[in-house]
Amino acid sequence: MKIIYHQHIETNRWLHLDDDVVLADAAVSLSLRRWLRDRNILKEHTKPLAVRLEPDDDPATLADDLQTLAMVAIVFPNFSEGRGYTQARRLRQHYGYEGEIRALNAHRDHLQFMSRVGINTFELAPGENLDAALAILLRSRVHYQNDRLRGLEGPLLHSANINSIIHHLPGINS
Amino acid sequence: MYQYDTLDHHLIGQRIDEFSDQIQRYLGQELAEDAFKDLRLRNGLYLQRHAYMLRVAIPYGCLRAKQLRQLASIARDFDRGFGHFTTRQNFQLNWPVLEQVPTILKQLARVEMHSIQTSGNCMRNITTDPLAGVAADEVADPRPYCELLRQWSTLHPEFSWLPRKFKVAISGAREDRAAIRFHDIGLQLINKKGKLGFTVYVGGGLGRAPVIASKLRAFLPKEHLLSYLEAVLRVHNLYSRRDNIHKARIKVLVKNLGIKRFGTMVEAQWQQADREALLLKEKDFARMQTFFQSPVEALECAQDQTNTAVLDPAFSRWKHRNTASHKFAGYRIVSISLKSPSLPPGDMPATKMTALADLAERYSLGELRVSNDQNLLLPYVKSAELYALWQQLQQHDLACSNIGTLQDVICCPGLDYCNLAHASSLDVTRDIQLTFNNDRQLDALGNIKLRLSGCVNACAHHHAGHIGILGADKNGEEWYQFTLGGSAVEPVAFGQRLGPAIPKKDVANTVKKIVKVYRTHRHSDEPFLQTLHRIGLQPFQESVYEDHLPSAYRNQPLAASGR
Repeated sequence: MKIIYHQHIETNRWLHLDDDVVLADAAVSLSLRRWLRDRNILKEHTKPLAVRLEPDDDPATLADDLQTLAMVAIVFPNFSEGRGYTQARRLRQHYGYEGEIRALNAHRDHLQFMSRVGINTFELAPGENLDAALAILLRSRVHYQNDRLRGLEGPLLHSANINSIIHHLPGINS
Repeated sequence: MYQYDTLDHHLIGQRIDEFSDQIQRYLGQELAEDAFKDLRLRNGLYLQRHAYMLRVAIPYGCLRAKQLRQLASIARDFDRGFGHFTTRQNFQLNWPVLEQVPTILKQLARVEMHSIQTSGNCMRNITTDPLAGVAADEVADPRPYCELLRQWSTLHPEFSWLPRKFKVAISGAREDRAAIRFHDIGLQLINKKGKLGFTVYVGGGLGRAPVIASKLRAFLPKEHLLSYLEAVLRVHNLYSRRDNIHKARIKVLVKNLGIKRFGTMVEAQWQQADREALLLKEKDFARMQTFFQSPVEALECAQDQTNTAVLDPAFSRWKHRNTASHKFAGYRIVSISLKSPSLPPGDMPATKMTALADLAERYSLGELRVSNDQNLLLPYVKSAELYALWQQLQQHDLACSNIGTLQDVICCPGLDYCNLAHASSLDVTRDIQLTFNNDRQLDALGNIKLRLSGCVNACAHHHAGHIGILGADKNGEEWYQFTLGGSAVEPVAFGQRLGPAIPKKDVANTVKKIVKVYRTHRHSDEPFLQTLHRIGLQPFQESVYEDHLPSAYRNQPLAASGR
């Protein structure tokens, strides 16, 4: 399966394991519940590990483990789900997580919002078009909120020097 | 007024491109119905009974003559020649064609207007006192804060997919004319020992389960406005229900947790938030304030046209009913009533919009306001020019002198347009307006606020009416439930049910009976609510229901106020 990895289309290297599936010798993502249950055993696992957050999971539960996780995957079970945006922002802003944050089941119309809260890789919803989604993600934009995740300097709302902001816009996750 | 710069224009433009693309994908069947619904709603596009409806934001009610003229032009070219001003300081087009929506949005953008977040489960148009900046009782002008919040809330990456719609209102005056306690967040500007800040209320709202907002914080220094709201929104986004649309407003969460526990959760989020990044600095406020500096100052020889007024009783009556005192001597605030019985409340034909735009330029420095009562205001009219203005308004049939009276009905579109409605509201309103169509009678009754909604969603805020009327469907027939004693201004209260619902044909007559009881019991020129509180519901019930009042309605105390 292909995914959007930062600003490119790449092949997905992760296996998303259900709770009753035997651990594979690969990069795997697990549910938060399984992670909390098995994290001591999982220390033996030599390949990268990730945790999947469902909408009602609290990222605070992962606070102590974040440095051992190569990825946190956020599940968007339906088109109007919005908790994942807060989860991602908390991971970046409050817990300082710098690893990969992946949206699962993402729609192209949400990618701009997702990238602005710190989500940087995307597994698209069934039926979505990868190239069209990437094009939307890469489209340069201006925003009222100067999101710190973007690393832009200046006042919160729009700065007097708009041209410099617009100049910096392409390269959303750079 | 706020003026767009490159960034604003760029941002609105990119949003139009994005929505145009979504419309094209929908028309090409590349976008599912449900997903498109979510996307079009947050661009202000509803699907009603007969057609789409486009809701345009008039941010915090401020409107320029040029913008009104453009709305008129759009109503003429893309609709049926009229538009509707709403209780939430928005403007609605009732018959736009989907394929033409992008063109309409581009025309709006030319005059710095948009429809972003006027519906959908996101932060809606920020509303405020229609007299902001010109009210005599103002602590501080709320508009700079409204604009800050407009920008902060527009396409916010974290809060664009909330459990339910989210409405914020700000009041900067001593009298709350923005009904802030009926909002998800209500902000009251206060001055505490020389420091400006906000009293923050949370969890208010009307609809099927009306709640008066609770005080969340007595004083929030103004520089923390954004980080504090972020904390509240975060609690709402994470913990409000998403499984049941009727229980997803923040008011349900606040009610279930209790204001104390809810407050603790907000506090915890606020402590963890990046307050420094969101801290508003003096230069941020100063920059915003430059847009809202008063274009006028007090006139030295504030001369009135008293002589002419005495000679012309119709002018004198209009001046009494439709104008209000101004912050600056020599000026009056003029209301343009959109409540003539000949048109649905809030509706305005394009011809009148154009005429009023011209008059606003000539007499009010090109500025207008949209009130929360579905009327328009001219905020900067010189007292000395009132008579000339009135004569002009009369020529364009814009001088209807019924502001504040029983004819100034606040009313939703009801079954005529809305697919949520259970009953019609426009024809019933017209019946009531025609029943009370005598100036002398209306003046004698004084200010009575009548609000009529065609369903429990309460778009006309019927709970807050002195007389509230709610339409319902009973086995295919339209029935109307009366409440008495509601108030959107302090002391805020919801009306109390009078008795069982009343059939459509009897609604106007029921209002007549209620008014008759009031007149019988009124002490001199006592206001309606005061008489009601003095005598209670019973005399009204006896008049309306005679011996047929079910016992459940008897001996009911009037609803307690939300203090």
